[in-house]
Amino acid sequence: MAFNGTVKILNTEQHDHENFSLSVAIPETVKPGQFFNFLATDSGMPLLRRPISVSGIEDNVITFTIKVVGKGTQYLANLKSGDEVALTGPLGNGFDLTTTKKRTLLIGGGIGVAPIKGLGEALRSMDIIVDSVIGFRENPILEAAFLKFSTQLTVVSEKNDTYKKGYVTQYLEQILDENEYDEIYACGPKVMLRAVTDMLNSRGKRAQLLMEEKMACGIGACLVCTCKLKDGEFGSKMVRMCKEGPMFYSDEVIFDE
Amino acid sequence: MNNLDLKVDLNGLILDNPVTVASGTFGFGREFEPYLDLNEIGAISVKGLTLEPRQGNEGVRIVETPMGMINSVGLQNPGVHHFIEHEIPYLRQFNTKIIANINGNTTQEYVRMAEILNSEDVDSIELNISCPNVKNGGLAFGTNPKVVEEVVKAVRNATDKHLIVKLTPNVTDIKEIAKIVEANGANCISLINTVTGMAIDIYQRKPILKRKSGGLSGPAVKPIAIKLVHDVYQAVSIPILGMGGIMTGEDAVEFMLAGADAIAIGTGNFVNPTAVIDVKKGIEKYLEYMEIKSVSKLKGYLNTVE
Repeated sequence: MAFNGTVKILNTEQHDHENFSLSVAIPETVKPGQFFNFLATDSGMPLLRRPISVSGIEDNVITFTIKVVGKGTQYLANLKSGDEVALTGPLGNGFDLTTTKKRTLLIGGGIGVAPIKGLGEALRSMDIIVDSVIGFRENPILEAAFLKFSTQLTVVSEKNDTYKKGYVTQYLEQILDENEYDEIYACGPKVMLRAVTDMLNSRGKRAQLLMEEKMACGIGACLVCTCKLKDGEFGSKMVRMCKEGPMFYSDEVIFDE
Repeated sequence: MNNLDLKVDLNGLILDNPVTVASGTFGFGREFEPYLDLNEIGAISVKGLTLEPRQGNEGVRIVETPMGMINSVGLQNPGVHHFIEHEIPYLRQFNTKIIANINGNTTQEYVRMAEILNSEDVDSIELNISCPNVKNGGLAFGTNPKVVEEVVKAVRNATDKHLIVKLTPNVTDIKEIAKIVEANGANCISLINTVTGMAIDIYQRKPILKRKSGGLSGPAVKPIAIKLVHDVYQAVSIPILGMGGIMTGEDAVEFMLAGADAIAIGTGNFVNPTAVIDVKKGIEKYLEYMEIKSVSKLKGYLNTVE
């Protein structure tokens, strides 16, 4: 079942000038990689809800880590603890945590580290060894949380020289050479997911990719958020990002130009 | 007041209440079952059907606009045979009317679909001659009076089912089209389909949608829809199923006062998965407040005192 209603915000936390977290209590079982569809207005505009992935699950307390990218996320950023927010969820398939037994690799880019952080915490509590490689344009977010659950943590930045320079994919090859992983998970910008997919393809491996697309209903009715997959009756098939996804295996996704 | 009469008669299609859902915004109902009781819906117009399955359009399919959205889905659907085999039995579990929304590339395709559905368990056929998101057919059918006449006549001859014709707002004179639809045997008119719209990414200097334009829906189109419903109300005597940006009970009442017998919620379902229930409650509240017992009284019930 999915919750659909209004809840009080329990906590908020500002990470930097554009990233923040908020927590709410939801009376439903939530999996890492699932998302909620937030009403991000009290005036009717913006019209459509904003799909936001969970970044932390502790009993019934669900945390969302959000980057301000427009009016909807700015509205959410302005909410304070005690304020009410309307949301629907959990939605989507989420990550499959059953495929990893011993050691797993997490790859995150930008605000894509948010759902990866929730996943890492969940895997660690299952006694899985978790290595992480996370990349940012400038300063990292959620670094402390990643330090806590990661056995090996690689932090990469394009602009901040305190960290390893460049993109996560530049360090991936070496990390994959050094350790044996029984599952790989990734979330980040499409270019990163594509580069990760290409690299894994060349090594005969695959990852669980948490993807995104602009959505309207978030529950599988409107068919505006699609992911193109290999095979199917048309030589490919369009599936719903919000319903069949947002997690897809890297070897089934067709990345368009 | 428990004695409100919410029944409406759309010229042979009797709905328990006037709140229906618009084609393409409610799938085949399944996605909404976790959120609301489908028995509460007057009728469900299912996702637009074609003879064969369709994959839909490539690329970005949505642009959010001020109080609206432009979609370019392109009639992605599993085809009429899948609908008959899998979706009708599902929908029949509920006490709601089933409207099969049909789309074709040619008059022959529309006719073929009407023939196929004629012997199936649907309560009505909605002839969609107004989809802006497909290359052939669709909108091209709905804007040309001669073609409208041809396709409505042909489909009417192909089926005994209750027949709704869905009109596009993208015409110069909607009254002329409505009259043709009525004269050729349609039982009911639904309107409006989406308004054609376009949006540009100013940094890439490219249209956001691959097909350049798509269909605008949501509260942004409501005043257009109210005006066109009123125009059609003045032009024909068959019932009207009004839609376009309905979010609340007040919106629904506005459509009925303009001349609609029943209404459909479209984009509103995306924003609020229980919109049907909320709109229905809002209508009831209005009827109680205005001390009007029967919702059918609202049709065209404008105060004409100057």
